[in-house]
Amino acid sequence: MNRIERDPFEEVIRKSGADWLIDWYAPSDRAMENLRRILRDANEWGRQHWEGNAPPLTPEEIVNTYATNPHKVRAFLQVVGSIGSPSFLVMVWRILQGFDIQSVQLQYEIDKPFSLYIRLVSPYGMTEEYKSDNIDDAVVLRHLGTMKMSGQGTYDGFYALNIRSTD
Amino acid sequence: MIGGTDIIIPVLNSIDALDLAVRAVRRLWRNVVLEDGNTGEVLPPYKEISFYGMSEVLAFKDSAAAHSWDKIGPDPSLNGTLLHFIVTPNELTVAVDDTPSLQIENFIESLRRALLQDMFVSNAEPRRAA
Repeated sequence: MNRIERDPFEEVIRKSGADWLIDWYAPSDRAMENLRRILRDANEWGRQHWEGNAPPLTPEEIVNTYATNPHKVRAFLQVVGSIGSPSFLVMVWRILQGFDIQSVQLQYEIDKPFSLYIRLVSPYGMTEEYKSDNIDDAVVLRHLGTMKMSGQGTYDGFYALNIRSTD
Repeated sequence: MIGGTDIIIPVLNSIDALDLAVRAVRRLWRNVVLEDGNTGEVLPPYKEISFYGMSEVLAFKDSAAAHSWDKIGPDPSLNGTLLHFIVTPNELTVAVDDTPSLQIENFIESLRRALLQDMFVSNAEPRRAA
């Protein structure tokens, strides 16, 4: 009897409601390969820039995280296909790991270069800076939790959008 | 917190709401001590918290407050030192003192507003093709 081996990463994508990442990719049979490549690029960027402090960002890590924090994986998967820069995927993963958002600077003027700068701080006080001139990376802003604490506006956390299907 | 008041906030995804509440209370009280409300275990740093299946979190202002709650339980001297978060599939309940301090009131209001963002709750009707 043949047993069909399921790819755990694909299974997590589907359980997270991000089937569209696979089904909308053309050709769809290459979708998983493309997603793995995106993660590989992000992982490589992290290793080059943060060396030993780089967060592992692999399909296996995502599958493991899903078991304990499925909401974080759901949020991450919502942007994995639309973020423009590998560095910003690393940044999202960092926020999901508990880094605080210390600074956000967005510069936009029509017909001028776009610029987005985000500085994070780890629970131990280590800062990391992320810069982008790719407006596709601005997708992350929609997912940031916002609160007022002591009267000051605060960005905190990274959350999935409640995406509804449209008729 | 004798008696206490329950503040109920409707949410779409309770796990996200509990996550946000935990992140937020760390800002309210920098030395907060978090406990799993069901097991009584002290929670690890945020990165290592497993939110899956968790339904209650106790947030003590600091370790002295946590110790006092363990020792003497509900007592007027401990007012303003504990927040109790409880999630059910569509609600986040925050149990606070009968007469919460202004700081706590402001925190709850901020939390409620944060949870009204469309990533947490949606009242919008699905769009239909014209």
